[in-house]
Amino acid sequence: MSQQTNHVLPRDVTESDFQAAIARFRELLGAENVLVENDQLVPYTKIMMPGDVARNTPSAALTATSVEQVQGVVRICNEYGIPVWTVSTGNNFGYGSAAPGQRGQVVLDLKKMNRILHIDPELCTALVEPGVTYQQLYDYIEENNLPLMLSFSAPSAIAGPLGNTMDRGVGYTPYGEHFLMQCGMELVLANGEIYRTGMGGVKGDNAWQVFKWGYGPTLDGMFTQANYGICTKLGFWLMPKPPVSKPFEIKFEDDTDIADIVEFIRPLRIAQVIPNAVVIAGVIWEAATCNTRRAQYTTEPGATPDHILKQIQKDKNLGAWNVYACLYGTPEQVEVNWNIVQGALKQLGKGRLVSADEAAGTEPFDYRSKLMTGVPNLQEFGLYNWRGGGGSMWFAPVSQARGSECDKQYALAKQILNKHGLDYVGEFIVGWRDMHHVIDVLYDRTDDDERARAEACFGELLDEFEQRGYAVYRVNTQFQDRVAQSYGTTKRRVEHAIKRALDPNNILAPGKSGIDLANDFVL
Amino acid sequence: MDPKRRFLLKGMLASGAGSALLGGAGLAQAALDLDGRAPVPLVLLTACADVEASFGAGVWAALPRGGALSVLHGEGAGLLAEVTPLLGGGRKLRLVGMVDDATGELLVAQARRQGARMRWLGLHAADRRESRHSVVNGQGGQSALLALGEQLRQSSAGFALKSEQPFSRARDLSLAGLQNGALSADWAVHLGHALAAPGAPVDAAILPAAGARLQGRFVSFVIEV
Repeated sequence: MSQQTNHVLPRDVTESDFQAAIARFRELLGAENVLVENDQLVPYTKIMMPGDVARNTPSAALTATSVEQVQGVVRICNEYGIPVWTVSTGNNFGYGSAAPGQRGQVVLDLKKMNRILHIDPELCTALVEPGVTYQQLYDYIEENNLPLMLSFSAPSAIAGPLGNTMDRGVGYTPYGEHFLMQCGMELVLANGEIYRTGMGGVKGDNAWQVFKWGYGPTLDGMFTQANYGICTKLGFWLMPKPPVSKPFEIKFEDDTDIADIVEFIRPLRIAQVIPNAVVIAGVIWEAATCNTRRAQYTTEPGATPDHILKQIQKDKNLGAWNVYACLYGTPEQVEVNWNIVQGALKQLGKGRLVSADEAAGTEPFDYRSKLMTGVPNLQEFGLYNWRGGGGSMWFAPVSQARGSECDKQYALAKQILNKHGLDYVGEFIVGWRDMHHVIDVLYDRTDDDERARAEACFGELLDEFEQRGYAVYRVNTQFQDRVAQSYGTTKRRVEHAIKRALDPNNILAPGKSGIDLANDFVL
Repeated sequence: MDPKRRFLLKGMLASGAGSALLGGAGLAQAALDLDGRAPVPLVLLTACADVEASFGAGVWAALPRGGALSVLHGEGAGLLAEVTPLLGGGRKLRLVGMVDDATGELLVAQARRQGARMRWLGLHAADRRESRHSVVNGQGGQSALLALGEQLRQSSAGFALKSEQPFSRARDLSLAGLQNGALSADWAVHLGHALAAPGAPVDAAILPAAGARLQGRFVSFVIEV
């Protein structure tokens, strides 16, 4: 049996209580599923945030294989006051990865609960466990020749639908708003009870994955980006695989084109002429995902000058903004919509349309095309090689889908990033009526000065955007308390009241989204 | 190698670790497992030719006479696809490598998924001005840290070496050299040797001299299953 070789303890837990809890975990899970040695825990410390690794270092990591074991874990945690941070696949890169939110928390890694419990090819639904990856689902669908299509985030192959949905992630297909497509959760509550949302509580019911609302209060959303329960099963809807998918790109030459692009896209998106979550990607994002590194153009510190960005744009045949969209349906449906898109673009009077035939076999078109047609890939990891050094934080403010809003957000973000010597590496994802403005704050973690600038930059982004009425929809664990403040005290009090009611011992992921009973709120 | 310098560095590293550093096993044990009972297959992973010529050369130099080494080149999803069955194959294995940042993220994630041990995890940045090294140590990483620190102090270039000790009560460690001058890739040679032969003294005389400068951002690691 391995002995604890680290000196990390959970907050307010004594060494003897911790060791007693570890012994109980071993009885429950088997010694091989209780990791307490440094070497075993190093992979749980790989963070991309600027803070020291120590602040996100776990005291132990547990792997469970069943719902009953998860129930047992929370009962032991209650007994000894052990805070537990749950991850499903743990691949939430740039948001915290598999590291706990606070030093000393025990990570409950659900990677081994990886069964695809059910896929219904007629109703187009799925029910999965936390460790199921999109690649696993894709392989299952392909092997069984099911007429279904997946929607996923960019780290698709290794990420999973449960974790992504519970964190309200988005994808790039018509089903790209993943929480909207969620239908039925099973949760282990802090007291060990099992709660199923929607129709899941009705004995013998078979509508759990087809009807979301059930009866009375509908609580599904309350458990997302939250710490009120551990999700052990997730149901969701799958898109029927269309007979035709027609991915395409439109390249725009100038970064001042962003407002016009959004005004052009919005009516097509709202009317579902273009039904998928359209992406408008900036030049560095595009360059990095076709394997371009900053050092190939400059090794000078600081923000990359605009003239170099223009050179990259030219060398790599990119737009300053690159719009990716896809049409789906029968050949007749696609043809009609294609004509509408071409007509609207003609009316706009700018933008270079690129078809799949023209761009096939080239990056980044290929990986974008795959994302829009449900084929997992890992091409977007190229972002991490743009500047290198392992630092990445997603800054993700939302806005109305209006050109003027995007123009304003882009200019502000670029100005703040450049001021701190960092690059604007961003894209807009067009929701039905909103924009997810997703910016990867990339920096070099080996450089203490750059780490400090990245941290200051992220804080300033949050502050300046908030002053203009914008807030992010998701954030890494280092800044979660700060972002919670943006949404107001009343919301926080309600969230803490719920926490007190459901998890009075504060064992489930304290600090998640700023919810922690150790916070000094007057309730 | 200057024994005083070695002693100085040893003292600067975490207390208790030093005694294992210098009296450790020699090169002949480079491919033995920690119990010294059975040879553990060694796999070298490199991202590019420059890394192979420096870091990889250090790993080769650490091999005992007749020792075998498998080599995997590449990056991203392609390399991950080759490594995944190795990590999950149920055989004892030691993967030593230095790759680009994107590949590094993928490998660490896969190591966690497979329940592997990470003996070493380092980030490295090298350009014409300086090199920077940020290390998160697992068990057994102290000797490699010592070797890297010694080499950097002996080189004629500026450097910063930081070792975070997140599992320890000890403070983080940092060393810095402010010299200016051309940076060779010798640090990568020494690091490759030290990671392939944990605990073995690094004898610069037997190491190949690095050729071209090594510039870029890299992730070094030792993963064991």
